[in-house]
Amino acid sequence: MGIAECRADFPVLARKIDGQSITYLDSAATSLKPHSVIDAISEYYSQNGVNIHRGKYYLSEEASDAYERVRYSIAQYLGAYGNEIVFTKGTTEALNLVAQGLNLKSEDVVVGFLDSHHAQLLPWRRVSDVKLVSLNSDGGINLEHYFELLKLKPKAVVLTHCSNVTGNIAPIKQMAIAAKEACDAIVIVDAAQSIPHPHLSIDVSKIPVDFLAFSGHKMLGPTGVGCLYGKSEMLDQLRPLMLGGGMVDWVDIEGSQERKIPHKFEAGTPPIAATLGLGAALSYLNQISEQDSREHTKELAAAIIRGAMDRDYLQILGPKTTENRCAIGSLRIKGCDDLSDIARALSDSYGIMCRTGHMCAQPVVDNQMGGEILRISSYIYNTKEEIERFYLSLDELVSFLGI
Amino acid sequence: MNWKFEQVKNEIIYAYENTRFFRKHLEKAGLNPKDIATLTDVARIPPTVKKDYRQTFPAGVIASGYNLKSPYVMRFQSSGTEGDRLVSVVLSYDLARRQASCISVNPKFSSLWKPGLKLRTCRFAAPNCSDVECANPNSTMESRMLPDGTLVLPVYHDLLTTPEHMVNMALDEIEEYDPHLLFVDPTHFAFLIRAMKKAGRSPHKTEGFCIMSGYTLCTQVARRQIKECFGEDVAFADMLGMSELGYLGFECPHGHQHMNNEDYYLEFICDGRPAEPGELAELVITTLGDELSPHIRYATGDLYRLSGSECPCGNPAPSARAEGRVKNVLWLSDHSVVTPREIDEVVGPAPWIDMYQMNQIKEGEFVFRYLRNEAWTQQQEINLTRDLQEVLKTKNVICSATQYLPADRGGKFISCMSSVAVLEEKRRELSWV
Repeated sequence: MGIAECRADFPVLARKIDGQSITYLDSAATSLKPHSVIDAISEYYSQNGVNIHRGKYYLSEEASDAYERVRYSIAQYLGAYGNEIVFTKGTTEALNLVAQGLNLKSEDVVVGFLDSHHAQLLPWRRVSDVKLVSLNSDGGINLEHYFELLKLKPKAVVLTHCSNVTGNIAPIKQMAIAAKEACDAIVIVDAAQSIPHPHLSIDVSKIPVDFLAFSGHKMLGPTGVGCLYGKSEMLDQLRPLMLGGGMVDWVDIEGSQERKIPHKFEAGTPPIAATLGLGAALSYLNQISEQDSREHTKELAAAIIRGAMDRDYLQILGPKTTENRCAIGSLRIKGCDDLSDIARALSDSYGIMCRTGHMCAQPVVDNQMGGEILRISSYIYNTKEEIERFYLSLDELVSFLGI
Repeated sequence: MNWKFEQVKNEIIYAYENTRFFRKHLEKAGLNPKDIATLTDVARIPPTVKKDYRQTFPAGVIASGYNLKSPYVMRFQSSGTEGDRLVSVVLSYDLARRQASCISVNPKFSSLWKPGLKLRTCRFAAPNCSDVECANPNSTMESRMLPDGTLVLPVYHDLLTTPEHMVNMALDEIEEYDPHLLFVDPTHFAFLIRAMKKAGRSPHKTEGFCIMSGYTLCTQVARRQIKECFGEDVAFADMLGMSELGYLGFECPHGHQHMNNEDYYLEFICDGRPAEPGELAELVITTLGDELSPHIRYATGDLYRLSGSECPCGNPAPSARAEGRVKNVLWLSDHSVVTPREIDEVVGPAPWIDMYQMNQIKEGEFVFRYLRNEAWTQQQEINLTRDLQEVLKTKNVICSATQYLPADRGGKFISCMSSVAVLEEKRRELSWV
């Protein structure tokens, strides 16, 4: 399957609002869902709909088999083992699980990054002394500063593979190796923005990553399910965040015996339908070649950067190159502090859906742009013509709004 | 032939008179045992399938006069591959008789039948193949001991994630229990052997005991590793069996599988007719003298090719090559099939591969993943890819090394599987299952 033909697989794109087609440019927040994902969820509810694990009846075993197959598929996609994949609600829960479970002390140093999502910043702040790596003059990661901070012998480094505001791809292999060599720090990667792109897939058997988190809904899957990869020896030591049914082998009046990994982290009934949807999403993504994904991303990123650079009234956050970059553009409209009218008008008058605010990355947005931004983020179903149309619409709006 | 027909006829009459399911089954087909006057007439009975026995267990398939608590009744639970599960019962002496009939083709295993021997067996296979909690890392030897003296060794459901301490537990327990027989899933056992070597340990002994492989297809890669570890002289053979019936066949010293036609009436069916030697055929089984749960024309979903020649070992039992499950064959674009055994022939003993899994993703698309070892070279992978492309008649074969291959949730590791072969319209072309 080629990227060029994939638009027809996304039913939302056939919808019209007030007679207008939809241009969806908010995939960094969540991706649209193809038919196969919707069908997988629907199929579960229409043909099965029961709880997994421990049920001895046919439907329960069928559901359990399907659920565990998704775990195995994800493991194979990441180069991990099946028991190293923990299902979570999403990236945020996965990162909180690690931060809370490592038994860090408040004086332990953790090296984070200015362009991190709040989910890769706040959980660490609560449990440790976070030192943030700054950005360089291009808006990329200041590696010199990172290496300097490694001299503090941090307990952990919390990397972001792809920034959700700059679109910058971090050299995580180099950074993970440096962290291990410097002080054998635990390496935790937020891969929420990179995993959706086949050309940015991570083989954890080849990179010294201890934990890696991502969400299903940004990679064509449903909301409510995500994954934490953890090396088995690290997961063995990690303290579960949630306690309850399904994560214990034995409970008596005095104590309990936790199940083995990964099940000891999956208390309660999981989002079964969503997980099966995630499996379908992965199958869908597996049909897209790395080369197609890379070329398409590059084309969209070029259109985003070019459009911003061609306009005096716009400032774009992050490196101005298509190398090591996802097709995300965080824009400041000079002289306009409240972007909500712009976003509403783009939606209602032009059918263009994009996002305003701090994008859950307020430190970098405030630091680099001085306030909220308008973000466009594109994915496999977008075209460069849609990006160009966004800029032309923005030109018109800016002119009429008197900015 | 008359002798065999009498046995089959008696079994049909017995099943008709004593099991609710089979009586209905025959009546639904408009038949009565009296209509079965010759061995040819047996083919008039529509085959029975696993689903029938699952749906009607226990009331429909346990013969009148028996129940689950009756003396000598053994209960077996099969998770089935890909969820096609079944609970079944066998009388212990029927099981022993079938076992003896099968194993008699291989003199190396005669030591297991010494008079007065209290057989000690260690089992290392998928956890769902027994009722004990062998996947629980806190289980003890005592908790995993079956009444017949079989010690079920600890293993995780997902084989390759079995942690080191459980591997060491399994190896320690083999040493301590000193079994006469190691009854193993070959892929599982090859994993244990690799883990043993990695831990710097040696086999507990290399003679004076037997190794029997079963449960899943014995790949040449697994066989090579077992032989390399225990030597060519160790009594090693592959058995064919089903959890619902027990032993169906056994490997003779010449490496051929001999089918048990003493305790079963076996039919090899191709396109609805008896197969010629060499043709791909489904095995259909009728038990003989099974008073507990007779199976009549039980379509197994297992594919075989009958041999057309006599085996040099001299045993008259028919020899056949097990080709794999109907739902695991690979369907090619020209509508032909390649069986798991044929894929294994292409891979061969491959000293550079530790374990492999062929997967047909969809029509015309195949992925071969494998665990490689220090003997690997790029050229070997290139050659294998070329050979697989040739046999699968497509260039669309991805061949890649990995460090992880998942077992199914029941714990069985399937070396060849297909998302096409599981489709009902495809299965129906090869089988009643």
